[in-house]
Amino acid sequence: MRGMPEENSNERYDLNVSFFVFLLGFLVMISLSLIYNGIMSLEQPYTISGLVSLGLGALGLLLAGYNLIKLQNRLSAVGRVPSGPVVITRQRCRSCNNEVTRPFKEGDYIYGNGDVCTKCGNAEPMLVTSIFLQKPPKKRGP
Amino acid sequence: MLLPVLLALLAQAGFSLDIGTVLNFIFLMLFLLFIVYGQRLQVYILMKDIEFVLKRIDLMKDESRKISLEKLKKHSTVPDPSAALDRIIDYVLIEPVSLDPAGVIWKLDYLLKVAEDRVKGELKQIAPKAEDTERENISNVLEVAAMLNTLYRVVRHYYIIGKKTGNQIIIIQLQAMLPDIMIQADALMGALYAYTYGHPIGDGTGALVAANLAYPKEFKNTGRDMEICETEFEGRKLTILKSRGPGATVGYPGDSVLETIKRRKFDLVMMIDAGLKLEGEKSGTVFEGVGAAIGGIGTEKFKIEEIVASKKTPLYGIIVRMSMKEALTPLTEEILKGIEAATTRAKEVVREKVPEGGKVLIVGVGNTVGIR
Repeated sequence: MRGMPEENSNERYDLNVSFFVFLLGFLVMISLSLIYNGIMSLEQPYTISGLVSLGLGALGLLLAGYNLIKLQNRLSAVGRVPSGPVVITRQRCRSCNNEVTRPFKEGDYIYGNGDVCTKCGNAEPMLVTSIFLQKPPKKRGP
Repeated sequence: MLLPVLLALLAQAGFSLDIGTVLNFIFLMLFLLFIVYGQRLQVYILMKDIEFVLKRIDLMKDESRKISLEKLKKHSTVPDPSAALDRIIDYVLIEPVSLDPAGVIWKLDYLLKVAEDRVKGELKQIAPKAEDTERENISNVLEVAAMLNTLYRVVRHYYIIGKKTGNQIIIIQLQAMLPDIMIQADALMGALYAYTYGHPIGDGTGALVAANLAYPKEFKNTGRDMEICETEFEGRKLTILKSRGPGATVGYPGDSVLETIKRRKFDLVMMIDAGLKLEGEKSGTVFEGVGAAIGGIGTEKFKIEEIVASKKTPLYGIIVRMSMKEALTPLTEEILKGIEAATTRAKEVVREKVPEGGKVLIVGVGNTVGIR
């Protein structure tokens, strides 16, 4: 097949969506022609072919638009590597049982030592009781 | 280009062509084109889907390599450890011959340990400044980077084969597997961050239940990358095993169970592990079973089943359900609730199945990263 990399090459696959865009362009062209045909046909009385053409043209444009948005979203998603998670450390004071949560720090581990309790000032560091993923905030609708 | 010229020529020759006729002509042409090239067009669209995923895994693979390199550089005495990193990422375990399957488990077990020793030995040379915990985390980071690299190479292999041969079956099969492949890749990226920073992960469920049961007693080192704790619970003697934390390791629970049961008799062996849920099931729910609750390649499961069957000791399993992503990424609140429920259930099982004065061996299975 043309443009194929050699079997043992380390060539990367850059995304080429030009043919897909060409197909969408073709769909837009056909849709516009259908809309034009529909408008012209509407001048003649008692015909539904004009309405059908208009409808099909509008559907074609919607489909092309939807696919373009989808393509754009996918292209932008390709370049996004998942970011590091937000992790929370929960600690409990061994003396006053005061519970404190704070962002995870490298070196924290469950049943390990945390910070000094600010409530009772106990010299013994607090006990790390759990480390967990913070839920991402829910997306609100418009 | 040809169509307007043709239309102009036809108009000059006295044919009247309205837009409707032209559209009919185009649709007829499209119909014929789709009969001949429809399937190729379909394959083209499927190939684009595969290319998107391939590109994404490629980026993840590069990111994992970058993170691994940064982690190595932090503890390395060599200014550029990238050559060593690439060598470790490309390591493979050559599986033993299984034409005569008798004894293959022990050969595989031996080779797994040799492979682990080799990576650990190299890491000791490259990153002599790193502490043991940190070195274990780096070793797991490299393992994830190697897995992402393999995933990328396999997907690329089938993509090239499909493109080269034009074999639609290969392309359709690969495209059908893309969602699963992306779930795996996303889970691996989550694991990469967890091992990099030392977050406890879902797979550490068993280890955390074991730690909960043992607290406030301390664990002592036993065997290879394992810890043991002797404690009492309502008149029953508990011997608790887990992998050595807080570094990222799963240890060799099979070896430790083998050694412990050889030395003394138990009334019950209970294993606690994370288990993959099916879609539609709730994460963090607990279920029970009979048998060795442990995943992996099968060597540890074999050892535990062998010794338990020979000593005729009942073997129970408590499992916390979670998805693959949850198993490899930091603990969620649902999984934490599941861990609490599993701890409570383990105590109930001990009460129900073991009389006072009896002895129980509890094995917390899983990666103990971020858990003491």
